[in-house]
Amino acid sequence: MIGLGTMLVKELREQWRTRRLLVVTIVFVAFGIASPLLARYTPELIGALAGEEGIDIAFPPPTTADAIGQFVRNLGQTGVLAAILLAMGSVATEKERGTAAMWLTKPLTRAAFLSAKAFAIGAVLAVGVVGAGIAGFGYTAYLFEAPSAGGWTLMCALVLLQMSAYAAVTFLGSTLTRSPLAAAGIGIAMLTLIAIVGVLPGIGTWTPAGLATAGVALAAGADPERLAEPVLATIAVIAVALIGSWLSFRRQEL
Amino acid sequence: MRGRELLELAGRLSGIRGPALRSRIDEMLELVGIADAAGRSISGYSGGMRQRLGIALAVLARPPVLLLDEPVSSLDPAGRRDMLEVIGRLREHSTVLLSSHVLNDVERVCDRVAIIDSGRLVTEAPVDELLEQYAQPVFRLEAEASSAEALPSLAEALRLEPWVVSVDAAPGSLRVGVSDDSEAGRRLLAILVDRQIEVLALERMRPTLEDVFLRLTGRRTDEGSAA
Repeated sequence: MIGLGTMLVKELREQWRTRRLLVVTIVFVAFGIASPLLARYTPELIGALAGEEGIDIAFPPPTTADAIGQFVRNLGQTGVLAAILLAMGSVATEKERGTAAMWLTKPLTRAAFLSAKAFAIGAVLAVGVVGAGIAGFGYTAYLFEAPSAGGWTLMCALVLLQMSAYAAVTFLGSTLTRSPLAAAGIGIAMLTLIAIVGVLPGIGTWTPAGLATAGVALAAGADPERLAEPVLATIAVIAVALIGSWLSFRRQEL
Repeated sequence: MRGRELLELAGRLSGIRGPALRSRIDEMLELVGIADAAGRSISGYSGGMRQRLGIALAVLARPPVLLLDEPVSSLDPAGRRDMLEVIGRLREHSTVLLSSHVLNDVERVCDRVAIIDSGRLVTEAPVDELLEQYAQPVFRLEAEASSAEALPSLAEALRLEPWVVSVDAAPGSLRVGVSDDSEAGRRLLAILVDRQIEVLALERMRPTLEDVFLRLTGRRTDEGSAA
């Protein structure tokens, strides 16, 4: 892939200059910190508010498992949104402005052009997840019993894999269209489809939605019931989306 | 992204690195006249500056042939003039193939011209040769307002002269294409004196590529293109 290194440096520099890397990291870290805090203090807050109304609600004492569940939910939802926002304009905007055509007049293959963009999006998400993971682990260990570091790391990897699937589908949309909004629409359509299919018995585990359940189990030190299925399904989604992007882009008129 | 950074990236993609890349970028920025703005963000560049940066980007790797399609079409008159000067300087580095509908621009910067009409190559030759071979001498006559009424009959009379090829009338003026400019110069003055037409201006116009284009294609200038 001629020109990949140079284009990757350019894309990473752009992620830094446009503050996308900074914003995504700050948002993810904020959710990483907030998740164990919410798990720890939400029952107390609700209990106090209900008490003012004369209602007595008994909550079980919050545990590490609650913090893990909260972390996966919060980061999963925010991460998917961030993945779609990062990928929606990556190729479409460059086609719209004519800069894609300009770059491709240089000794740069189309595969390298796409790969640099996909890697850069993945890198931003990865940095954000690492930051959130460290912050979330630290606060969970401080407020509750420390979870298994290995299991927590695997959970973060699964969350990142899930985000990457949504980013890859939106990236495909960005390659197919000239409009970032249309690309985002494709990403959101995928999100909706997976949310519907994910709750179906039998098939549900064969979707990226199954990664969250597996991640929670891993971080809690348990063996997840289904791990291979959602992982393989998600890798397949990413592969199909990226290969589709390349097939669409390699002979596309710009 | 800044102008210099864009050129650095393009240079690296073309395999140029280190001091060679820096000196090449400096040279290209000087060539296109945006050296002072090289450290500024491209988003703040004017249309003309972006065009110049695009030219610098195109010639950075010293391509033997450079294709420019309507390179001044979106520029204001000053930007257009400057860009044509830049294109004129590019001939020291590359063979430039410029495609344009604006024949004055073509005449100004090109050594050779190919006229293409409806996808068909009509002719291809050096500019001077084309002008010499195809452009007819043209006289432009502008009459005083008091003689303007006499111009239609003058036009009719001129059309009968053997040395007149064409007469185009406009309010207050005539454009007379001739086959022999020395004879036309003598005879035209005599006819004007004879008819007592008060002349505001009489000039022998330099033939242009537009005249050549019109003669060779018989079309309006905006329907074809020259390169």
